[in-house]
Amino acid sequence: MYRVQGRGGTSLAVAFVRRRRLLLGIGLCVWGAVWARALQLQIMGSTVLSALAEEQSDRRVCLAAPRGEIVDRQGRLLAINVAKRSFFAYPDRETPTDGLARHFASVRGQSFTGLSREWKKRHDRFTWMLRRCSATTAASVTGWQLPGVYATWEYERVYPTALTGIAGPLGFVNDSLNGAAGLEAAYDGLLRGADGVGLFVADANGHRFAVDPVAGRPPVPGRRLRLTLDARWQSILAEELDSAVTTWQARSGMALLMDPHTGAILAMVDIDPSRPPGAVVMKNRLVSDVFEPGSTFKVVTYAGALSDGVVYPGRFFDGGNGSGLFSGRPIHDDKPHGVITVAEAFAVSSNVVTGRIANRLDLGRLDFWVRRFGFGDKTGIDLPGESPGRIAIQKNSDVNVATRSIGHGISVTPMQLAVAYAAVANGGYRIRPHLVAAVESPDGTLSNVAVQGERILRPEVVCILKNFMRDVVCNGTAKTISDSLYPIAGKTGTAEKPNLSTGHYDKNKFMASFVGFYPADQPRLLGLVVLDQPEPIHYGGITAAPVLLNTIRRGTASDNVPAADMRHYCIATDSVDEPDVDWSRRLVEAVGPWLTTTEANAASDSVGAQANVSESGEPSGHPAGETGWDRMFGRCVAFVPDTTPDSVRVPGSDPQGMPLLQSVKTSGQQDLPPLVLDDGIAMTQEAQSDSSRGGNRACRLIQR
Amino acid sequence: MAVPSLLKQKLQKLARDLDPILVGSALALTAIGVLLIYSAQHDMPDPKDRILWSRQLMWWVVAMVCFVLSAWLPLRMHEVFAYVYLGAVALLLMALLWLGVGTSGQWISLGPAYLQPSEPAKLALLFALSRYLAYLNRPIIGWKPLFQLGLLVAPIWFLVIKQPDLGTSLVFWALTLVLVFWAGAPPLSLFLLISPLISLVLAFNWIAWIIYLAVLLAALFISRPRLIMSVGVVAANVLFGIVTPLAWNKFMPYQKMRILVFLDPGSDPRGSGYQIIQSKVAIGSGGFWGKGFLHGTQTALNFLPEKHTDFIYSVGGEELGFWGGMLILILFGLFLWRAIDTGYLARNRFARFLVVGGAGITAFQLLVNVGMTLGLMPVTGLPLPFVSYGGSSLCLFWVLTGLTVNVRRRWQDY
Repeated sequence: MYRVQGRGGTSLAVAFVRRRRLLLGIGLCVWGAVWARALQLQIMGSTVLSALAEEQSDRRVCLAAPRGEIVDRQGRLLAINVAKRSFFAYPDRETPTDGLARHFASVRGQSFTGLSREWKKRHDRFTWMLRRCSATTAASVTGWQLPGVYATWEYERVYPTALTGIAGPLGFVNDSLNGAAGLEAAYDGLLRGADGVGLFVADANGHRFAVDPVAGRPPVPGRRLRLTLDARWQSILAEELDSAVTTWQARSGMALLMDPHTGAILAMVDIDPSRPPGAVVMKNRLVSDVFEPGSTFKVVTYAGALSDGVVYPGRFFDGGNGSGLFSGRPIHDDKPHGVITVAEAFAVSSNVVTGRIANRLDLGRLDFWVRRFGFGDKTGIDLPGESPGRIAIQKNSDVNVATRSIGHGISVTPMQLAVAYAAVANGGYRIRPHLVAAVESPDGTLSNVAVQGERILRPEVVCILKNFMRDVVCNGTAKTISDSLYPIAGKTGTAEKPNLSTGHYDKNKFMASFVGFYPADQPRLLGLVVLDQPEPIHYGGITAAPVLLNTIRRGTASDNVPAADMRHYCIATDSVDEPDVDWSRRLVEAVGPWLTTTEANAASDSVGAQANVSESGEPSGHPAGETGWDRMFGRCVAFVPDTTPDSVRVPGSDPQGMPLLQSVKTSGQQDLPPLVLDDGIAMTQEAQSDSSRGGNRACRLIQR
Repeated sequence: MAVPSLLKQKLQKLARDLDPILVGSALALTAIGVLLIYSAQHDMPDPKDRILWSRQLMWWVVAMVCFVLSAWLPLRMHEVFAYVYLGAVALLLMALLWLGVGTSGQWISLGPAYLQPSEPAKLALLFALSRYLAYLNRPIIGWKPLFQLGLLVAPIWFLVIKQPDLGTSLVFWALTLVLVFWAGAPPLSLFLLISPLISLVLAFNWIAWIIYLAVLLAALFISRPRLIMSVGVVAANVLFGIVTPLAWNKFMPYQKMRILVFLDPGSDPRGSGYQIIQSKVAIGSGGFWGKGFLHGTQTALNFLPEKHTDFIYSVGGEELGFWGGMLILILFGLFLWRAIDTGYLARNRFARFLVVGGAGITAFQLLVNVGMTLGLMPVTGLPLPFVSYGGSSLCLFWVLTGLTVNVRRRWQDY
């Protein structure tokens, strides 16, 4: 028998012992290494690795905060949100991006290779697959049942009224729902709200996994803007201006209605037939564009001269039979006038006499008055992109003073002009125009309190000027709108347009304008109308002034409101009051459930009851769907429509208020189920929509 | 009263024969395995996956039959048929080339169940090597014995590596190494034998390699083996040291990736490194006390790959924590201690090799598997003995247990 051989012939026993020791040694070393490693991972690295584990399974998604609504002074919805399905994913090892790209390329309208390349460049795990898609698309995407693709809700901004010219003051939002123009931009910070974060747990294959809900952050909805704008006045003014622009073949038209006492703007219309329909309105020409006002500017000259005491209303001036020389340069009148009083000169809008009066003021005083009325300075309206105008003067000469006194060689915005006239209408105060009456949130309401402006005119001057302006309508250039039932006072303007290429004034291109207030003795409403190149008649008194008269006629007559009660509409409220329920009910009858706050609250209450929402924020017995997001954090109840009726003409509705809804847009698609997001844990309620509502045209989203 | 005392005597003998520590630890490990498989799979969407734990219970029954057979069948029989077993297994492995099913064709379908021939191959190789070494009457370190050993291992090694089953092929070499050591090869000779492999690994860092080469030369100088051997060892080391970096540069990027990922799993967290990272995360997030049975999130959420087979230890680490993992290791320690003790006890050389080789297979798979889950070793796909899901593997280890019991019962037999 062969013996186990040790080195140098060691005995079997010794070799055995040695091997045993070696085995033990190796064993212990290996053991020690494993123990040490386990200690390192499970004791020392436990915190880090636990965090890693959570990071893997915890998925987060941005819970979009609904942007604040914008309503008119009566609570009519001007800008709302419509909830739409969005899909996102966490592409990882288990769900290859290529597979997703193949699915989503067609619905996104992209090529597979392009989309795949785009996604591969991403380093974030969170990726939007499809945002704010239609109900049909959403249904088909849900039907794919892609693991790791989750659904959530996002909002789309909708301007349901399609009021003419409303886009100017409202502005619009960009793709990320940030305000890009108008009030949407000016109040973006308040409207935006704060997005929340939703957390959930998913397994390695991307299946949402039902473990305890993880804490998230609920979205904070944006504040609601209540405007001074009145949709009814807006629609009437827009219609009247539109018909004037059409009748006089004007290149464009602008009009404005405001409360001269507070500066609250009731309507603001900017019509430009050359603008393609549906085009984005980038700027609000009423505040951002300047023009040479012409005769409407004369009020500054007269106000200054009367205030400084250089003239009095009965003082005679020589009209020079239609022309006069200033520093050797002639200035013409439209019609020849002989020797006339200051009052007559205002009524007939004599350029020569106005020039003479201005020369009695010197350049410094005229400049003082121009600035005192706010020209050359922003009015401070709460809209972005306001222009201060341009009032610089080159040389102190008689002709320059005279030219300026009749509103040439100076550029102002329509808003500045309206503010100047408001000072006459309100008894001599310079006011700050504004569009937002109040900022409302569940926490409370911030009212935009109109501040008493600086007094710029003495009461007696105001009185004289009011009479002058009333005379313009009764006997002067605006005789066309003389109507004993509707006593308007105002001033016309017919300005030759400067030709930028020749540097001279075009003799046949005019800006026709009219600024007036109503009622003449106790003005409650101030209107401004500007028509660009009306043809064939270019006089402001004939083309622009009737727009204001017709608007006031219709506006005050509607709903059988006596003219004396205009106060209700014009001054009405800078405080917040309940929306006009009756008015909205009429709307509902006309176009289906286009819900008011009250009604939508009621609707959401019924939905809420269905979902067994308890006040404590605990969900109780809600049916948790398997697809998509059925648990999420949020604080809102939404009634989701997906419908936007195509150009529904409201049948049999009030002729005055009608254009308001003339194109409430809907896509007429099938319904989306209502979404119920509740306090604390929120859930989508995949229940059927409320059929008793008669079709699903509700597009209203409520925060609770 | 005579009958009960007789029964008592019988039971006592049975208990002695069965070696309660050895069999007890094996039973405990198998039970833990079934529980962990249940925990890993009970929540899976596919009902076939959910009942895997009950299949494992069925396999346990089969394994116990194997255990009884191996414990009571005479060892002499295995000694006689050792080479026949090897031949049969080689045929099975060859049959895999045509009949193999599964991702790498590692199974043969047997109606309701599947057989993984690489598991019996380990056993057959154990018998064959034990038989060879038991009758070897000259020093193991020599050209002829090593060559003959190589002849025994190479064919089935080749068949297994062709599958490709890297893990099993490593088991073959580990088993061979253990048995050669047990046959009396001096540790230094073993070291010299595997030194080229160490060279291969260290060659990536030339400073380490130079130091290693110096140590090797010193060892050679001290031990003074035959000149031709020394020259051969040094030549092999130098060759590997030089060739490796050159070969490395010839590798395709994905081949390099595999090796680099082992060294730094974070370099490809979504790809090859995924398993290692997930395993470490699962184990580490378990902490000391674990998340509790059935409460492992990484397990339940499927982040853990191959959780019922190769990474079952990670499930234990996550749900039972540090102490659970240590419990498993201690049970293995008891098992190995009793097995090696039996090896020392036995008089019969074949029996001794058998027992020690069995312990070697168990220890190697344990080390590689646990090392892999802890991120100490590359991912090789070796199951954890007794614990991992798999009928063939469970049967193999219960056969090894049975053989150990068999040897211990008749330790005095020559």
